[in-house]
Amino acid sequence: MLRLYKKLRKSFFGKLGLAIVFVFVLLALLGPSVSPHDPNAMNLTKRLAPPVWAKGGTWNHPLGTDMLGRDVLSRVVCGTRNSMMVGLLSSFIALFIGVILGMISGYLGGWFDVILMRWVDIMLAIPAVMLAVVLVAILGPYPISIILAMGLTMWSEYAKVIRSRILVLREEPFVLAAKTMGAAARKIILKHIFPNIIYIIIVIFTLQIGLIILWSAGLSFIGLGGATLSWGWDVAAGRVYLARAWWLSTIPGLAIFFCVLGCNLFGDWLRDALDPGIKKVV
Amino acid sequence: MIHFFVRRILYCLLTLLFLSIIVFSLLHLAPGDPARMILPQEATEEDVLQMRKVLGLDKPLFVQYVNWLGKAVKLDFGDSIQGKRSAAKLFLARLPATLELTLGALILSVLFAIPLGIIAAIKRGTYWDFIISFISLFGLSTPRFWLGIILILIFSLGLGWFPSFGRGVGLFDGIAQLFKGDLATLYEALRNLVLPSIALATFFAAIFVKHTRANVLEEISKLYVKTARQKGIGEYRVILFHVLRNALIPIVTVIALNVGLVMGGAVVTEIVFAWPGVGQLLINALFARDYPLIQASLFMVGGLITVIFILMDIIYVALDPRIRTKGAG
Amino acid sequence: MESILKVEELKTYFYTLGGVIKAVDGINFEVKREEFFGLVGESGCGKSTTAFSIMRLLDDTSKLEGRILLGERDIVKLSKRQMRHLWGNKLYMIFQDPMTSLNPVMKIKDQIAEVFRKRGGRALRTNEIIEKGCSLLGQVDIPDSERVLNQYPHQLSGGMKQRVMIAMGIATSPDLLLLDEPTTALDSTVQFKIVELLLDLKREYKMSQIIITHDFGVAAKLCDRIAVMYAGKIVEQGRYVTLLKEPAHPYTQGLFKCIISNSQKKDYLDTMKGYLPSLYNLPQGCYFEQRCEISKPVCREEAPPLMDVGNEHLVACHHVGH
Repeated sequence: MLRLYKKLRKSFFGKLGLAIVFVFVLLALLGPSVSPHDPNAMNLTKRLAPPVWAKGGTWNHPLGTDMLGRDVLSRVVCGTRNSMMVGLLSSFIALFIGVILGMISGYLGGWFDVILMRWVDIMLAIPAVMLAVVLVAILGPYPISIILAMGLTMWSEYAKVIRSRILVLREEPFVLAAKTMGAAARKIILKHIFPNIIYIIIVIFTLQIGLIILWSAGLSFIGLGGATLSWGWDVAAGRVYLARAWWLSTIPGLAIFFCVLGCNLFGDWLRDALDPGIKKVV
Repeated sequence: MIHFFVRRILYCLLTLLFLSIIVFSLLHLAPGDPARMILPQEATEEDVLQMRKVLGLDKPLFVQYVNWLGKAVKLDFGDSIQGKRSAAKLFLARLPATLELTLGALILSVLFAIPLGIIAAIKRGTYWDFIISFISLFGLSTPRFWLGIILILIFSLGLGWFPSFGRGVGLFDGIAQLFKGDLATLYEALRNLVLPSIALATFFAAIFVKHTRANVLEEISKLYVKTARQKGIGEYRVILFHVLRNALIPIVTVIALNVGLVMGGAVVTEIVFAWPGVGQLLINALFARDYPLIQASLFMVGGLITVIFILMDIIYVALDPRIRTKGAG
Repeated sequence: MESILKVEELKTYFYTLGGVIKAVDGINFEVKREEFFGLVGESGCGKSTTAFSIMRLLDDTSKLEGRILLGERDIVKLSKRQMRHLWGNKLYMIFQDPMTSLNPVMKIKDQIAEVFRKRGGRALRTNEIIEKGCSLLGQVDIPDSERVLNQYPHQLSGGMKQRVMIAMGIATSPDLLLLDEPTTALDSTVQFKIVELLLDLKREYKMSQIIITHDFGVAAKLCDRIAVMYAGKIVEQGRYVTLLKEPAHPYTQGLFKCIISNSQKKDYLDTMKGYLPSLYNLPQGCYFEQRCEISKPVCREEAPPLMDVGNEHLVACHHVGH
């Protein structure tokens, strides 16, 4: 871990990514406590106020107000909770389902493996977005729908990769040798196999989290999943006012952008830093 | 060779079968009684029972499935609850628009990404590589729907270069008109296509850049490239005929895998640009619980993509002689 | 006899995040016209890197120092563009791994045809390509040449691929041909044939060749003079027969002992204790000192220079040449 920290200090983008992610996680946790106004407080006299740097803007509402007079900054800050929660929960559901199925498939093989792999291949034919959309529609207009839908469409990558890794590792000479050496060797196996798999899980997780946040925002945008205090929803709501009040759609979208950017920056750095085998060249 | 094709076709059919099971089950997973939804509010219990009989809902599940499958194969999904017309026909009417958008986005992203990926690989470690990686990162982090809106804001409302919504008459009509000597229609059609395509393409361009760069980097350090170089042929030829000729083959696979995702992404893009495609249709169908239409859309999209996969397989085989011919000892 | 190639204080360093790898650390040798020069040593001693350095086929992660004189020109200073005039013209190298040396998606005839693409000249017509191709393949003993020309590399065996590489080498008729372990990746019957082929080439084309190998049997058959490399330096150099009779460096002695014991009846195999030093962390004095049976204190402090002990025999050891 210490080595990792030292590596982090050397990398500008790694630090930047982590900082961004940290800010958003903080906002997600603290949300309403640090928000300047109540995100749902309507004030019809102060509708469509522009951000502070435009003409007519005030510091009271630094990022302006929306069509119902609600403070945009507060909505962005509080909307973080929704995005982060959906993003993280979906990712973890996908992770658990995928890893477990992948491991079973890899170790047991047999008909379970065959069917699972066929299923995964077939899932490729249906665009994930469409499937998620339909699932959400079926499950109903609750935030949990988006979480489940994304979790259920994204697990296949974990399953495939974990499975093939286990298949490879099973045949490794050191595993076979360890088997002949008895119980103590099982610890050795865990010491070797485990880090390997953890690394893969981290890789896939960091690759997916950005995507999941993007897609969940997209689902909110369309209006599925019934979360009215979310970035995607706000972008959608602001569309009608695009000509008059550009900030309504732009600013929540920027929040999505930076959040995903941070995840991607940090994820990229983390993957590189943990990579056991790259021959790096100066 | 024949063996290969037969296997692929069988696989395709199996996929469609699984697909049909999924699509069929959706109707039954959903809460609410389809019969009740079709009938007006005042319907009595008897009416509902009667409707269930008509819809065949009283028969065992398996029988329902077989009946449904039989009709689905003929592309008969019943009538759309909203439109009272054949669901399949409704879908097919809107399909060209989505295909147009998907194609436009794919072409744009490939045209853009592959050269950038190649440059990033060849000039690895230099500023070019860095900038391109950065652009790629931005592309991956931008929400499609938001990008669309921003594009509209700047290029439509702001600069007025492009229309802000709609498709107009469509690309296919535009091309048809081209033969009659009419360029204006095609021009209009393309104008409408630009912004939505860019919005949809950006994300995938970023993915393709990364893959292209990785593949080119891998090939360029291989031994046969050194062999080629030391024959004294020009560097352009080395890159073009040796490196790229090998590096781009896996890219075909990547593109194929993403075709489905591009189509999926079209769903959201269509809403932003009021593009009259299948995506919009699906969303409206979902809100209206129009199950025949939902089933029709899902099944046909799935089938279409499966067919595209097979096409991509064929292209891959055509490109890589190692698969076409068997090796020696 | 005049020399085709003169290598002076060649250093090839690789710069990685883990440190600097001194793959080749100051070597000097000469290859004369029509001579077969052998570079021998164990894996990792820098022989392949030397060959790639001479060919200038290394990428930008490496840096070359020193001089490599091909005729009058110093190759180290040339740009890649300038090297292109030498490639396929004066220099050619046959790599160690025939399986990956050829472009997998190009037919053999197209790859051979590329050799004949002269700048400014016209490309060959198909029948000319087939004609030249068949002739070349015939010279390297590949039967059924017209069929082979229309095949892809993966349809050929390892031995045939290696011979195609040699054929392309012949076609360029270079002044200097480098061969990196030409027989290692092949099975013994094929090895024999390749060695015969190379001997034929020596007689017919009178090319100078640098042969890299760790197989002394091959070296014995082919090489006039050899240089023994260890950890990036040359420790002994001279005529093969001289070294065989009187190996002066402890490492060379050790190497010969390991092989010669094949023909003797022994209860145990002769080995050399220890391992190659890590190339990230080379010792200050003689690189071989840690494994040497006769090391003196001075060996740990000073690197021994390469000294002439008469009869073109050069040795780098503190025990020799006083």
